[in-house]
Amino acid sequence: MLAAVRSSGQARYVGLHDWQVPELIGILPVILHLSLGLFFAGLVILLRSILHNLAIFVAAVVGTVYAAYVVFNILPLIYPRCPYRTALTPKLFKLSNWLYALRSVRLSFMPPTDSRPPAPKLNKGDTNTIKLWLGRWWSRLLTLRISASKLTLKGDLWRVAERNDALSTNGVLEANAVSWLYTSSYNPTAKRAVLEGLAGSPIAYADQYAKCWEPDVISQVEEDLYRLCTQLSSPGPDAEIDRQLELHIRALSNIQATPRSDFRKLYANTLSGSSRSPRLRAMFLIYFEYDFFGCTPNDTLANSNLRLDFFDEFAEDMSELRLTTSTWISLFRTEPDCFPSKSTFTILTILRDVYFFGFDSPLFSDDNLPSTDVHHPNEKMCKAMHAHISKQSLKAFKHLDDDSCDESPDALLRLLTLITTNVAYDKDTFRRSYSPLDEVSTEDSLEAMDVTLDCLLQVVENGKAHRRAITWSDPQKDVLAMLTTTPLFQIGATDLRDILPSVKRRVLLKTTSLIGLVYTPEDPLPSTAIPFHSAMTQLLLQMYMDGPDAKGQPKHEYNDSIALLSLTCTRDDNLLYKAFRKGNIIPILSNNLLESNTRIVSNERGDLTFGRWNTKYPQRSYVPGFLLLARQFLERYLAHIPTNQERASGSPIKILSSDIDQDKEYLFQPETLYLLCAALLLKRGAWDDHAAVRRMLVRLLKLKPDVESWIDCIQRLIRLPQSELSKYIEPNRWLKENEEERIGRLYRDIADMQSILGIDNARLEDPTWKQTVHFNVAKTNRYGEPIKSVCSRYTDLPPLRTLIFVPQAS
Amino acid sequence: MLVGDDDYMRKYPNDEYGAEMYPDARIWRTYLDERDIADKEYIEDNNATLDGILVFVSLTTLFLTFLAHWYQASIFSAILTTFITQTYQTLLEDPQETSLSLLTELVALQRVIANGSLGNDVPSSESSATPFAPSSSDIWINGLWFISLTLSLLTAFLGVLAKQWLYQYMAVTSGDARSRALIRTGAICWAT
Repeated sequence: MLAAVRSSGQARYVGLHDWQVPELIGILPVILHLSLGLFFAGLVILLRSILHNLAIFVAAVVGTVYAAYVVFNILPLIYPRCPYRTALTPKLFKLSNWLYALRSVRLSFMPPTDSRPPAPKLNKGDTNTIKLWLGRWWSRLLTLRISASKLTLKGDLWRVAERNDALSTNGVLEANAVSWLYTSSYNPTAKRAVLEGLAGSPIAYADQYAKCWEPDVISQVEEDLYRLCTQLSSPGPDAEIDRQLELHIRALSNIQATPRSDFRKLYANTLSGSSRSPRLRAMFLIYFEYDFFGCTPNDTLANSNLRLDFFDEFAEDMSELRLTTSTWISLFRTEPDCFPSKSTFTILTILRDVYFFGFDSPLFSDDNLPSTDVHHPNEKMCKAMHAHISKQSLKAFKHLDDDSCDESPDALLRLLTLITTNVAYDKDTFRRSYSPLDEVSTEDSLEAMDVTLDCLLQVVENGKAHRRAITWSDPQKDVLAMLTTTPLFQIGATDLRDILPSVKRRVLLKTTSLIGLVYTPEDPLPSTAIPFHSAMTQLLLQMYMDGPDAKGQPKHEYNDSIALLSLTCTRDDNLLYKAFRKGNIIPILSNNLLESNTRIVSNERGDLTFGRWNTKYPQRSYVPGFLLLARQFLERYLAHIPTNQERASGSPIKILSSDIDQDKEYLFQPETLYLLCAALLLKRGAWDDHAAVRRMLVRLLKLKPDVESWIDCIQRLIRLPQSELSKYIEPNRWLKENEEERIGRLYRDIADMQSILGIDNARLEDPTWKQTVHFNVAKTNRYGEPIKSVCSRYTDLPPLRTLIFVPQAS
Repeated sequence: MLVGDDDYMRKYPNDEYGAEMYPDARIWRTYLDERDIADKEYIEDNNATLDGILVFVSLTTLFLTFLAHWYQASIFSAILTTFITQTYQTLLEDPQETSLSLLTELVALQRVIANGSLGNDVPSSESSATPFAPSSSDIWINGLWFISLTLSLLTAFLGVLAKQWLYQYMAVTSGDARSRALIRTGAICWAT
């Protein structure tokens, strides 16, 4: 009963909106305004004849107000946040969008130039001229197309626009909202909610707080947070107090509170002692040290004096600091998940500072860490930290969603710098004293590199998808190039398959592909990195050509597509040519490469154009590569359905060469044509769908039906069923059902092609060509038919008449 | 001590670690609640003011009507046309007066003709002799009242518009707490 009532209520509500009741109500004031406007118009006309000056005055006032009315209604359409909204605004917004979309409407009376049938010849005085002419125009009118991709406006555009606008301010509105809530609420719990909520504020908002808040608000918030910190204490361990303290500390760090002179006292009062959890102590120290350093993530060692001072000051607390830091590190080891990604970045930066500083720092001088077989007294610690930095950055990466990857490639690149080498600090020191990827190349750091490279690849890919260039600064590029010179990347003569740890192999492959993506002909790879890249590509090819390696390692331990990416990024034509020639890598290429077709085929450097291949390798031994490219060509150009993206960018994907006429000319050379048709008919390559093949063939035929090459092509094609059949027929074996079907289909396809082209049978048959097939007279086929009758069935087919069936004694 | 719904720390659960500013976090729900309280006051105040203005406008119009009635024995009511046709007549010639004087002249003429004397003795009617001119006080009174009428009607016009804005501002938008909060804030400081 209740459910029924509810559902009927819902039905009424839905009906209310379906029948546009709110909009109708919203229209009432508009009508009122309109009527008032009419009244005023009449008034002005009336007054004009009696009191002329008054009429002018009234007209001016009324005109101003109505002009403002129009502006008020338009403003929210431009600025969705504008408060001058009425019930009609969403409708107006939709209308304006629709009008805007109309801009892109294109009426085209002409069919696409490629598939247009040849124009009929118009002779003067011919009675059919008019008919022909009319027919031509009629067919044009039939192909009238309206293309306006943006005309499909569905959904509540206004709400989406409003929401997107509100969310796109990058923290300004958030800062304003929080500030308002904090300053104008009389409810103390609301203030508490703000103080705790600030703990989750993204790092990027800190600038907005500084900008949007009044100075006294910031200081008030800080004051409150400090006060709350000092108030919280308990004799024993208390999870709730720990939680709140942690929230406040994080909030303090998120608003980038100014360091306070008494924070050590605060620390002593609230955190030292056993009642608080070590994790909290560690967090506190890390955050506040950070603030005390007064440095941002961008700072470099130039500020190291500051840090020295810090350590001097903390000389007496050193044991505590060390303890906390080490507990913190062990915490990272045991519960890495408790650090959210956004603060991880900050933490990592600090750790890096500590880490770099650590070599000479008094912090690590007293070595009470177990140090066996390590040269540097602190090395073990450093290694541990390095490994965990790597691990954490790995996690940080995993937390970053695609959008943030997309938006902040800089941050990621910075992280790359941070994780892999730390070179950005001091390259010489790095080379001389410490090469983590060589000696300390633990699996952790490798894993971290692996993920880093993954993310970078993703960033680059995303950037490509959105047609946004990602600018790599020189230091970042240097890092990449320098990586290749480190011992890890010195593969040289070593076979790649001997590098047993699969992670290492993955890293190598990915680095190769990244190098291929980042460097361009205008900005070539530094000479130091070239040996690595070409050696890698060679090895890669070798690996693919040889199939699964001798040691029985499964081939798919590494990421095929990534490896292929690096293969396609090579600028070595010979290598690529080799790759295409090798039959056993074709399946991989066709499956994986085709998915990344835009990269290989529409290479921006334009080095994979088919024309170049043609001139370079006239013997045409690159059939698989040809098929690959030809398929691209057929599917894109013949189907003639450019995607919206292509249309928007105005640059259709270059497949064969820059000039489509050149492509076609090449395509219609007899040899090419035959290869292509044969491939289509025999369904080599990736064509599986018979209907699609036929469609493709028909399009190809209609593209240039009058080329001479077709006769030659058909001439050769017509032998296809025979040679196929002779492959199957053996003395004591007859065709299976599917084979019969296949031959029949092949025959039908070719016959259809012939009829479309209008080529006479007599012109094609080659009387000299005969083939003898022996068969066993006594046998029947699987359906019990005597073979003899089956033979006659086959010889009835015109292209198979050249087969001679010779009875064989059993 | 706060109880019940006023204690936001109790009303809304603690957020997940690191999710303190996520779309449905406590801070945004609190914001919406507090904003609602503040806005309701503000909107109610404003609505009352606007209603008062609308009532006042109608009263003014009525008053003008009454005044016009008293001044020129005509009616000015909510039916504006009546007002328009009646009041401004002071600025025009009165057709009744004109026809009356003409009629007088005609009767006099006829009487003269009946007497058989010359019609030159009959004075010609007043209106045909002197052109009509409204008095300056009439002009002033009418002009001022027209201005007053225009302004008060425009005020009502803007009042209705503003009421729409206020209603739209308060209209509940769908979505998570954060975006709703941001839309609210955005409407208040949209110029930034």
